[in-house]
Amino acid sequence: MSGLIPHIEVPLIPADSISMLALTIFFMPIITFILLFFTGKHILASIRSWLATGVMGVMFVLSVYLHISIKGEHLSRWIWFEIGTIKFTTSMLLNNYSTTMMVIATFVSFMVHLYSVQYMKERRNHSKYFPYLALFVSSMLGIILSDNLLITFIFWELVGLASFLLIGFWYEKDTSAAAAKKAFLYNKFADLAFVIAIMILYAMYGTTEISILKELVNLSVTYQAVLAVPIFAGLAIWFATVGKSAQFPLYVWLPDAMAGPTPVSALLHAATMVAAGVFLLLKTSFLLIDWVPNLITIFGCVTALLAALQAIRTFDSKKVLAFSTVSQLGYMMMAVGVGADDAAFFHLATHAFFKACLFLSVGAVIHAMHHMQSHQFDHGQYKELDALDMRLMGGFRKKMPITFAAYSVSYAALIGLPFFSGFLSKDAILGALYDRAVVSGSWSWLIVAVAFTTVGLTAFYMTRQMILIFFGEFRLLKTDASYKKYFDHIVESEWLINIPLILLGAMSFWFFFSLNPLHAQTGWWMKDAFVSGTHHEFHIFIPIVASLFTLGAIAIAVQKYKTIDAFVDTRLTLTRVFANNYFIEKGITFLFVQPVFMISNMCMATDDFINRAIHAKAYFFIVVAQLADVFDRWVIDGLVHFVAGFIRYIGSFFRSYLKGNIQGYFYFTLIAFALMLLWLGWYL
Amino acid sequence: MATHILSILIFLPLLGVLGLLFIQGDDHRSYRWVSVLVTALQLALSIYLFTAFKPEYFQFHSYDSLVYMEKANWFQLSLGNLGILSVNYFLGIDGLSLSMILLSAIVLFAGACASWNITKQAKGYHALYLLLCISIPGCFLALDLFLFFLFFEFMLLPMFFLIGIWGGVRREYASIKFFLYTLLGSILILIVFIVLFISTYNPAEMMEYVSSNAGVTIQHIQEGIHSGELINNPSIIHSLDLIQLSNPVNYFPNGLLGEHNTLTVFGYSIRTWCFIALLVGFLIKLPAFPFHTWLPDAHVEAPTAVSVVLAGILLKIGGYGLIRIAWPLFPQEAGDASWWIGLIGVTTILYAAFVALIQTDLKKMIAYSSVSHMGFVVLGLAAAKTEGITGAVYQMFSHGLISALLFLLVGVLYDRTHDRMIPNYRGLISKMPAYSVIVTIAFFASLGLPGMSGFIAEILIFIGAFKGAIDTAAIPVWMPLVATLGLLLSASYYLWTLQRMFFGKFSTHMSIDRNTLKDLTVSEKALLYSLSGLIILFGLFPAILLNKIGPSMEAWTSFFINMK
Repeated sequence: MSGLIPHIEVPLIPADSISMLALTIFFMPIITFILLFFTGKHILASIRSWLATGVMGVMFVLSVYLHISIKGEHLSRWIWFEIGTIKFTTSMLLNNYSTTMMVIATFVSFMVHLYSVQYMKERRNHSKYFPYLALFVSSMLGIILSDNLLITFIFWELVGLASFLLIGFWYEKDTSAAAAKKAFLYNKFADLAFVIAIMILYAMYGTTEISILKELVNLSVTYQAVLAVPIFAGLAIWFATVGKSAQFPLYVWLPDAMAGPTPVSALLHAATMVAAGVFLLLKTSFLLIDWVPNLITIFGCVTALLAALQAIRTFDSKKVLAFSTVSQLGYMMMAVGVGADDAAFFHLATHAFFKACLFLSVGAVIHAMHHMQSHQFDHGQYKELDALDMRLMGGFRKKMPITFAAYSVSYAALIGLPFFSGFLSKDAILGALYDRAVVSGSWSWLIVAVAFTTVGLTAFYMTRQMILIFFGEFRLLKTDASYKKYFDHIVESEWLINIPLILLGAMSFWFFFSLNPLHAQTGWWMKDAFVSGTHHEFHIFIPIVASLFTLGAIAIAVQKYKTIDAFVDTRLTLTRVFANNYFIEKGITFLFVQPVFMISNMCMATDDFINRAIHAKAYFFIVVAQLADVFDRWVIDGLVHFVAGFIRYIGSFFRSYLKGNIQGYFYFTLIAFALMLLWLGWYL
Repeated sequence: MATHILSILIFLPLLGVLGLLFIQGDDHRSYRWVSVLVTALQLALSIYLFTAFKPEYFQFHSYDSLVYMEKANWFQLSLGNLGILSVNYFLGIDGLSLSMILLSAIVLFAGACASWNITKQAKGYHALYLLLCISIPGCFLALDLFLFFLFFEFMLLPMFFLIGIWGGVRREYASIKFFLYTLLGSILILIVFIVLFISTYNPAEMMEYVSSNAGVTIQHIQEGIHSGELINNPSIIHSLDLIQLSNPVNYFPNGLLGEHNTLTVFGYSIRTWCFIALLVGFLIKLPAFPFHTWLPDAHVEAPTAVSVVLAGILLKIGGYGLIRIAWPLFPQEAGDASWWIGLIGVTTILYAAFVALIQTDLKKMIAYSSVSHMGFVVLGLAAAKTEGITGAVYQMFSHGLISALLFLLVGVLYDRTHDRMIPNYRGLISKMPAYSVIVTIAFFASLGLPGMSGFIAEILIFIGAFKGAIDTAAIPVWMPLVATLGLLLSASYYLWTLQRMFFGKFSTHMSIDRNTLKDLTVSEKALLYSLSGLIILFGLFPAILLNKIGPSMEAWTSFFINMK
């Protein structure tokens, strides 16, 4: 079968100076990791955090320089190891696409680092925090730069490891430990598909180099040779991204992952790690042929809707944002599915900034809540307080104006108000979906309808969160008035926290992406950042309809939550369904976990059975040995004893005549002599 | 020296044993130095061998492929009309044995370091340990099957006593179980060796005897045998020289294993039965399902250092035997049985992983995970592709390092509290941070995290197995696909253990004295860190090993395919 597919020689390409720069950027966090991990507690916390942050800053500057100076594509390829004549290569591809992603990743990481300097100060286990972040950043850069699926997979898993370590950062909390394990295992499950994709592509094409694979797949598609190969490989790659990019039904790990520190949630679980899936899918989009793109669209659509619905009923401030992330990833996937790669990547970029900003500003509020709790603790009172619960918040608008401003700007970007980045990118996706529906009709219209509905839902849950956190009065006082004096003392966070908020918030405006505030098609982004994008028709009614959905949803949300007592929630059944993630986890437990333990017990029983069989064999030998012993003692020994006894009997018979009686001896001698004479006479 | 370097490597510990005899008194401190020094020297020699080895392509099992070859006639036995039994002292090293020699030197050194605190009858312990250090490298270097079997069997003696005297509570049971199981395997292997002996001849040695007749070549002798002229000649020389055995011409055409033999037992030819016997014999050692139940018991009862050696290298002799002897001597049969072998591999991977999931004894869990990881070796072999077979060798190498680390880590905990039960601990990370870091590294290494050696091995096995399934249909496609579940299962049991034992708030079972829970000492750290470092080194730079052994593995595959 593989004979039908031509094999292409994989040439080695030395790295040029631009590639060397990219490699330098890649190795910087690795060195940071090694340095900080092994020095551990031996250096001051402030040195540690500023070192890591400084390195990130330099990396960001270098990435920008790289992005500006790059022209065309820079591919470099080396041998990683060889088995005789079989060569395993590793390669790095620099183009607009990867350097843009590098800029995004390093910028958000830099912001998160800055924020963490203050936020993580005096937190327990501080010495591990920055090395783990460095590990994450280097793995993320690895995914971005690598042009070899096997190498990508390595970093893909390392991102999973970093995520595991950071979610379980406060390992003493049982929820953190459980969430870390859950995230890793859900991702690992999806990653099996990645392994399978590598297996398929290697077996069929003899290489995992993406750019070589691209040629080979295009060849085999052209000749209609073996379409099943790219189909199944594409399917497998997509399933791998279902884990990492939190798609239905595996997205349930992401809300739980909020157990990690808030800056981590902003960096990994909103801006970069979850985007890695979409990024990879875009990189390998040549594999997505036949019915696979439709599948991606449908799952993306389901994800977008289900997660948005859950966000509406969640009271955990971070989980609302987590569900929102899942929902937005659904949008990106939908765009990938309809072939609007540029729109997907555009949304990935804008989302990275505003979602990071949202997380960090909500984190600032949570920080303030924690402070109140610890103040109370200092005064000898310890009260269990869920600092993340939006029902206990409210009125932070006046207390923390900068935070509020940053939140509002990125809020506007997320729900897609005009003049904000999200408006442009979401518009691009909706336009692409509409174009597809016009061409293929039928169920595609349903996708468009759901996409628009979810735009409304997004506006609704975000407005709800904004009102609950920033407007109204501080509701914690209703349950416990003793917090009043601490609430009065709340001030805006330190500048180290505010600067990242401001910078990230600024990225929510349109002008960073396109000079035309209403349409991105003419902007530099769609032109430059992603070359393969096809031109999309601009439909003026799409942003209008989307904005109507948005405004309507905002109005409803304002109406509903203006005066609401957030503690009262009437529709409990619905909440229960949402809180249980649509029973997806229960289903997984029922379908997978329980059977696994059943099989485990069965295998254990088999082991016992094998052991019993061996014991039985041993006992059988012992019984045989005993029988042999009996045979030995009674039959063989008996015979020997019998013979011996018989001889002894004869002996004693004769001996009885030899009892020292001289006359007797003489008598015998005489008889013997007589017999001898007789015999002699006879003989003679 | 260079010509006898392999002999020196093997018999160096004998000097150590001799040294032990001259040390007086019960002071265990001097004995342990002997073990550590001797194994360190062995390690140095192995590293020298490794660096000096040049990766070049030669035909597999040819005299050219061997470096530092030592061959001397050991003894000859005239068997009348049956010919002459010739036994050679035949050592040599190629890519395959190179990796195993390096591994065994590392693991034996680690084991010697881990024996540091043995006080009970230390002299006997170290003497037995050093005997182990002779027979294990001997096994990997011997190329005469008689010699191989000698070393192979000789390993049982020290192992039996090391488990039976220095083991845990049920040590007698475990050691006898281990002994009987492996003895069964040995008997099967011995039977095959006897059959091999009577059905083959060694033309090279016969040449030496007829060299007076000028003009006689090996081909003449082979033709003579095949035309029937030389059959039943009392001067026919039988030997178990592996190089000669690998040549199908050297089998009597009408002998038990010959091409014209039509004798069948229960419908299968003698060759098939011989292959099965070898397979079972080595699978017991590996171990693979359903021959694995000796391993958990042996591990649980064995002292730390013996567990390290057992998991680190002894199991690998099973895999080595399959790659070195079973497959090259019976390629046709191995090819025909690939479906069943693949099934054994997949079953072993999954079955042992399932059992590991519900273990409450940490050491037993790791023991089962060892079984599971050895299943990958079988899977890689079944497909018989260069990638898969190299992956199998790399898996043996990497698992040797990882399991050594894991068992050392269990030993650390057991030394302190004499309790290995997972539910009896919680939140250990806050009490023993350094220990927990290395446990995390070891667990992730064992679950195949990229960047660690296990990943390279497993991914090579997977792509090799899948390629075999596509190219030659040696195994069905579902086997490598289903086997990937092993990755998920191993991640599950390791992370679950991590969550239960190391995360959460610190607490222990009331039977455990918390004051004993001290973090790692400096010497423990040195050993554990260097093993972890090796695992990461071979994970990031697999070229160190693979570039060396690659040509040999490629030669193995082409040999196997040609013979098939």
